[in-house]
Amino acid sequence: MSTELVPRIEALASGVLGPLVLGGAMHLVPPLGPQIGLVIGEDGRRVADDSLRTEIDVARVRRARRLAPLDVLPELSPAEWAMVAALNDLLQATNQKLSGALTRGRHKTLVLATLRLLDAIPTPRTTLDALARHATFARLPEVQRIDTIVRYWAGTQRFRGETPPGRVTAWPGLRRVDVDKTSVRLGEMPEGIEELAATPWHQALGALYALSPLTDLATADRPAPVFVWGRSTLAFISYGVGRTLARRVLAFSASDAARARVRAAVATLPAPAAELVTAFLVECGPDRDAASPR
Amino acid sequence: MLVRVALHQTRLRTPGLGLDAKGVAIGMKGLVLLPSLDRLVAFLALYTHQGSLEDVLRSLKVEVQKSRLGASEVTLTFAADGSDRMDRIAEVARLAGGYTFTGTSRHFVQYRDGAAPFGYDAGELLTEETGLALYHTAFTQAYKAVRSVEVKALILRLMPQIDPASAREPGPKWILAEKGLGPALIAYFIRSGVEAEVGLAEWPPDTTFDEAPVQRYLFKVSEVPPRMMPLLSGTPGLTVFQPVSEGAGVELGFKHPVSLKACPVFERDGLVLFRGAADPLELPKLPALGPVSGFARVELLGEGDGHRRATRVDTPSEVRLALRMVPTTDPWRGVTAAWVRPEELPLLRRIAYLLGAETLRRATVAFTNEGAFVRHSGGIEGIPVGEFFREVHGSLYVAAGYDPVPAVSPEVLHKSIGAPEGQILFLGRDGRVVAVDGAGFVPLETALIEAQTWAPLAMTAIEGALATEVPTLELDSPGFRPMRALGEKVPEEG
Repeated sequence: MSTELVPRIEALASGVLGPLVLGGAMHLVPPLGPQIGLVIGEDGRRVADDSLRTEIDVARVRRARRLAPLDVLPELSPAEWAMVAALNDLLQATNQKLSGALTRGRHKTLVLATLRLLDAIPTPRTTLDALARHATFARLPEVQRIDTIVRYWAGTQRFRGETPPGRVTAWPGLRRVDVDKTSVRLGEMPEGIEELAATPWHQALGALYALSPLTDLATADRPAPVFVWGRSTLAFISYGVGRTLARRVLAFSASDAARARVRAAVATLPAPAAELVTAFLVECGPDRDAASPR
Repeated sequence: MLVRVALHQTRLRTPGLGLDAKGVAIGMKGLVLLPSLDRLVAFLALYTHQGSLEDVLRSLKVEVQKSRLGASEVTLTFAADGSDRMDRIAEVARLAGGYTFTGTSRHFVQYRDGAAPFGYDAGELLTEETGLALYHTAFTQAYKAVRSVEVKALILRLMPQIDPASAREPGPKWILAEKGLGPALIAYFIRSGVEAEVGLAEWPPDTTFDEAPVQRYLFKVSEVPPRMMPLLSGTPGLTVFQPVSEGAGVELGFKHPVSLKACPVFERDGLVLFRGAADPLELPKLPALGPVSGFARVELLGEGDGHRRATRVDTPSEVRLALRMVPTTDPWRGVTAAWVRPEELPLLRRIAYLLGAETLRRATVAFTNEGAFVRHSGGIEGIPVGEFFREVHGSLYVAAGYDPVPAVSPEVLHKSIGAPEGQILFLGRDGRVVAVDGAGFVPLETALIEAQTWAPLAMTAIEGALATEVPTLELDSPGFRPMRALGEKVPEEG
């Protein structure tokens, strides 16, 4: 691995991974692409900043212990690093500053490249692997972007995920400045960029969710991409320990809407997979809405 | 000259004569008058045959008396000590041809007999200034002491008499061997397995022409086998003696005229050996005696040979057994460790809140993928969680309630595992051995505080969760040639 990548990886850790797990402002790094994304986690890659690494570890363990009595979680695996890189590229694809007037195709190129990267990332091999991924990406649906619309006497300016400069909001009384902030959820972030309308951006985001089955189940109530039973989630509930964790994540981490969505998604499955999911849902018990009216 | 003492008579003429409780006239001393020394020997032989001379011996005095007519006679003077002793002595003296008198200083009157049951009193005392005045019914005679005779010397001068029956008496024997025969006899006893003690005795030279003392080997044999008796008795230079009293022995086939057992005149530490055909041999003190086995012949091997050293030591054929654990009913001792499985860690956390300060300080814990290992030198019972282990070796713990079989020692067991130093070994119920690095054990109280990975309290976690910021995306310019990582070479058209 080239040494010039190290600063970018550290920036990825502090700008994307850290805020994803710990919260706070998320600053993207330039697109990494599938070739770099697949290799940045190799050779036992760790977060260089000890303080940040410790905080991330504590937060991940705290998240994991909601589902299992774990005291220690393994370090971030290469697959998780690749998923972080894919998230960076997916979010970067929604950055309108990525392209200029003559380079609008970059958004589509980046989405397709990210889709290739996500296809190359393996599904979790072990239950601990799945739990570790969930500990890292559980807050993925919480990622938001603040869009700001500044209206003043001479016109309106839109700021997409950036803070308006001071000159725009200066003299608010005199200039009759009106600042309107809007929170944009992850699934809605491609909106506003026409070049992304025709791209499989949501498909790529769905693939990112699918790589962490527990996160996929816990966030099944997301508006987009809509939860569907995929290969990784079906594989996860096909054995006892996986079903137990899946049951717990639905019981403790998922909303009622998410549970309802999980049930509703059975309809789109073929018969054998539907039987597996139905059996799992029977183990989960009746829907709370139907069983205990509030 | 003598008058019979009458019943209830209270006055006697003889000085030193009195009446005892029975009314018998008796003085402080008794006296036996014997006509010659051979009669004296006869008296002693008869007396010692009936009883011991020991009580009389202390006051016994033997003297040769001479009368005015020149006749020599022998007198025995002794303490009267009552009429009972006097009666017994009077009977023996009468048998030996002697007369018995009683008195105190120099006037002795005849002791009582059948004619005078209460004794006699002198009607008229002799006025001669002689040593001794004896008053008898048949005579009244004055004597003068010529010389005294020692009983011991008299007995030593007595020659033993032939008595073939004594050769068959069992019991211990003294054997006297001339110097030349001693070693051969020692070898003979060693070879025959006869237990004996031997010493080398010395006597002064027989004549002044001899310069060196006469040396003879003296054996003390506790029991002589009968088959040896003819050889020992018939070999010139060997003499077998039968111990007859302490400090005296008589040659086998002979006996002493006086019963030496009843006549303890010889020293207990010494030894007098009465030989049948020669003078007795006297040893004032017994020589040092030692077992004959100490004289056994010792043969030394030549240097450098004779002993063989093993040239090769083979290890025994391998008989290796798989270690098994079997339940035991022995009481639990030294239970100082516990293995808390991962599923029991929540229970350990809960119990940690209830533990005392001392337990927290002294207990140590190490966390592994297999769970936590807790050790407490004072006993792990205070932390009732997990599988208990007892310490059998400095770094080896065995599941409590189980014993490893084969029942080898803990040292051997620890050595067979072959773990490096510093590893704490835990032998579970299933025979599986796990090792934990000893350096990984930290005080439990430290682990509770520092182990953020396993003991963050729930309240802290809630606070942390509430304070967590929402991940907010802030979009910046990706910079110059943002797509270069994807292989974009030149700004492409959209």
